[in-house]
Amino acid sequence: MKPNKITVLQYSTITFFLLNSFLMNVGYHKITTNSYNDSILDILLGGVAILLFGFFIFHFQKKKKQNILDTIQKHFPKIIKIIILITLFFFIGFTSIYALSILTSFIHYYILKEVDSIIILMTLAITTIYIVSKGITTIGKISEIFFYIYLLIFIISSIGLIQYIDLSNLKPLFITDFQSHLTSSEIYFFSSITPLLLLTIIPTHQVELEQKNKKLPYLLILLSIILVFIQLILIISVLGIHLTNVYQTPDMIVYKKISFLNVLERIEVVLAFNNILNSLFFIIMGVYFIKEIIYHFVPKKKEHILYTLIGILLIILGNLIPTDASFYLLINIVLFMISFFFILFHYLSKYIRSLLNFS
Amino acid sequence: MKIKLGILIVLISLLTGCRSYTELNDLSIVSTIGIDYQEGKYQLIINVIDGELDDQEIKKNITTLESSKNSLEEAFHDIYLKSSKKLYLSHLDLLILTENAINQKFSEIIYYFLENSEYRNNFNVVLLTGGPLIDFMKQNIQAEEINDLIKTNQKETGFCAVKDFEMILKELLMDKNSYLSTISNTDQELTLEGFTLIKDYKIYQKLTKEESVLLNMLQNKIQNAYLNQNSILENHTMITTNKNHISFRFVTTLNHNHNFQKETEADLKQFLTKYQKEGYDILKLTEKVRKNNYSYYQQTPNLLSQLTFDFSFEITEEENYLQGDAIYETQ
Repeated sequence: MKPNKITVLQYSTITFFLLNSFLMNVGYHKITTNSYNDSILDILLGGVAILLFGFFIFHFQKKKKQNILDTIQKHFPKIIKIIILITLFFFIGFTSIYALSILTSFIHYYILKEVDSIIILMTLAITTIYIVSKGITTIGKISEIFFYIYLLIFIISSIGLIQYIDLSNLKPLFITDFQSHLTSSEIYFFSSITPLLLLTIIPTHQVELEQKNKKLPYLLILLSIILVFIQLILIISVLGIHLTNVYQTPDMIVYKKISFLNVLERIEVVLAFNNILNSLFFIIMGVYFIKEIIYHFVPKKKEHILYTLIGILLIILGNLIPTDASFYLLINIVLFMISFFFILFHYLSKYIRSLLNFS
Repeated sequence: MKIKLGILIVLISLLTGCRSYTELNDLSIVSTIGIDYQEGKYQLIINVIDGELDDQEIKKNITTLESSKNSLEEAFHDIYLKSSKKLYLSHLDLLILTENAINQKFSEIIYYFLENSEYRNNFNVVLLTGGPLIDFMKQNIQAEEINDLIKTNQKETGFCAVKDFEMILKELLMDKNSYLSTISNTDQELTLEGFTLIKDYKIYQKLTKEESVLLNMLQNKIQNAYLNQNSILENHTMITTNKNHISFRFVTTLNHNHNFQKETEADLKQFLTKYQKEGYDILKLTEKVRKNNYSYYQQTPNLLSQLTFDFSFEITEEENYLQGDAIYETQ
C-alpha cells in the first residue's frame, strides 16, 4: 500500500461502519413503532434507496477524484462556496456531537453505570481526536481490523439468539398502510445521508481502486443493510413486536439473553461493542470532515491547537446538545436536498455544456 | 516533552474509570425483592446475599432490609441508606408481590422494573397470599429454592409454571391481562397454589389446581400431571387456528386410561367457554388469530365471543413392565 492511500477494502469498511451508525443515531425504535412487523420490509425498501444514493455518491466521487470540499471550491463562486462550507460545518458538526452524546449516554446507561458521563465523553473525544490526527490511513486500517471483529461479534450474538427465536412473532406482515411504509423506509434512508456524505471527504485518488475490487463498496453497503435486516428479524422474533416497541434500544435487551451452555453469561457488554464501533466511526469521520472544512479557511499550521480546540468543543457541546433523533433526521433531510441539487446541478451543467459544444 | 508527559499522567489518572470501582466484597447481591402496598405506602423488603469466607468455604448470609415509603424510588433509596454494602440488582432471581400491591400499584411496579436497566428481565414473579410479606421474607428462604419449587412442580404436578418478568410484560402489553404463579405462606409453611389471573393490572380470579393444570396443558407446559383420575406422563399440545375456529391437538401418554379423553374434553370446553363468556382471553387466542389471519381479525368485531373450540386426542398408554414381571413371577 502506498503512503497516504487506503485500500478499497478499508474504504468499504469505513462505509460499512458509517451506514451502521443508523443503529445508534436513530435506532430500530423509530421504525418499529411506526410500522410494527412490517418494519422488516421497510428496511429492505429503505436499503434499495440507500444503494441508489450510494451509487450516485460513488459515481460522483470517482469522476471528480478529489474530496467534496475541493469540488465545491473549484465549481462555485466564493460567496456560495463559503455559505455551503459553513452550512456543512454546522450540520456535520451537529450530527457528530449528537452521535457523541448518544454514544456517551448509551455507554453510561448500559455499560459503565458507575462512571460519570463526562469521563466517558472525554475518553471518547480524546480517542476520536487522536485517531483523526493520525489521518485517513490510520482510520482505514482500524476500520478494516474492527470490521472482522464486528462480523465475529455479530455471528456470536446471532448464534446465541437462535434458541430464543419464535418465528410466529414475525406475523402478521403487510398490516400497515402505504404511508407508514414510506415513513419507515424514509427514516432508514435519510439516516444514511450524513454517513454517505461523510465518505465524500475521502478523495478517490487516495483510494487504491483496483479493477477487481471496484464493487466492494457496494457489496459492503449491501452487507450493512442485510445485517440490519437480520438483526431486526432476530429482535422481533425474540421479543415480539409489543416488547420491541417498549425499548429504546431493543438490541441491548436481546443481547442480555445470550448465554452459551449456561457458562458464558452476561456478555451483553462485549456484544454492545458493535454498537460502539458504529457510532465511533461516525464521530471520527465527522470530526475528520470538520477538520478538513476548517483547513479550507485557515492554513495548515499548528495542528495540535486545532485538535485541542475541536476536542474541547466536543466535550462542552457533547453535554449540551439535545439528543433528539427527529432533529437529526431533519438535518439529514436538508443535507439530502443540498446534495441532490448539487449532483443535479453538476450533471445538468455538464449536459448543457456538451449541448453547447455540440451546437 | 515534559508537558506531554504531564498531560498523559493526568489523563491516565482521570480517565481510567477506576475512581469509582467497587470491590466484590463490598457488594450485596439482591436475590429476592418483596413488594406490598399498605395504607398508601409501598412496603419494600429485600433479601440480600453476602458471601463470607469461612474455613475456605464461602458461606451465604441472607440479610433482610425493609423500607416503607410513598414511592418505590424513595423506598429503594431508603434501603440503600440502610445497607453498608452496595446493592447489586443484576442478579435478582425473584420478585414477590402481594395482592394489595397488584391491585393498587401493579402497573407502577412493572414500569419501575422496566425502566431500570440494572435489572435483567429474567427474574421470576410470584404472588404471595396467606400472610404478611414481612413474615415470609424474614424466613430467609432463598429465591433459588422458591424458583426450584415452582420449576419442579411444573414438571411433576403441572399446576404451576415459572413465569419471568419478560413473559409477564409481554402478556400485559398485549391486552393488560396475565397470570402469576401463587405461593402461600400460612403458619410459616410455604405451599404452592394454582395460578392467579390478572385483568387490567388487577387481580381477577384465582384458579383451582385442576384449572391450573388445564391452563398449563392448553399451553403445552406440562410433562407430568394428575387430571381426571389419570396420571399424565407426557403431553404435547398443538394449537391451530382457522378464522374463528381453534383446534387443540393433544398427544398424551397416560399411565392408565380411565375415560381421560371424554372427561378432559368436557373440562377443557367448560374452562375455555367460561372465560370466553366473561370476556377474558385466557390463552391470548385473539392474538393468535391476529397473527395467523389479520384480515379476518380486523373484520371481526368482538372476536373472542365468536371463537369455537375443537379438541382432538392421541392417547397412548405406557407399557407397564412391572406388571408384566409380576405376572411372569406368579406363573
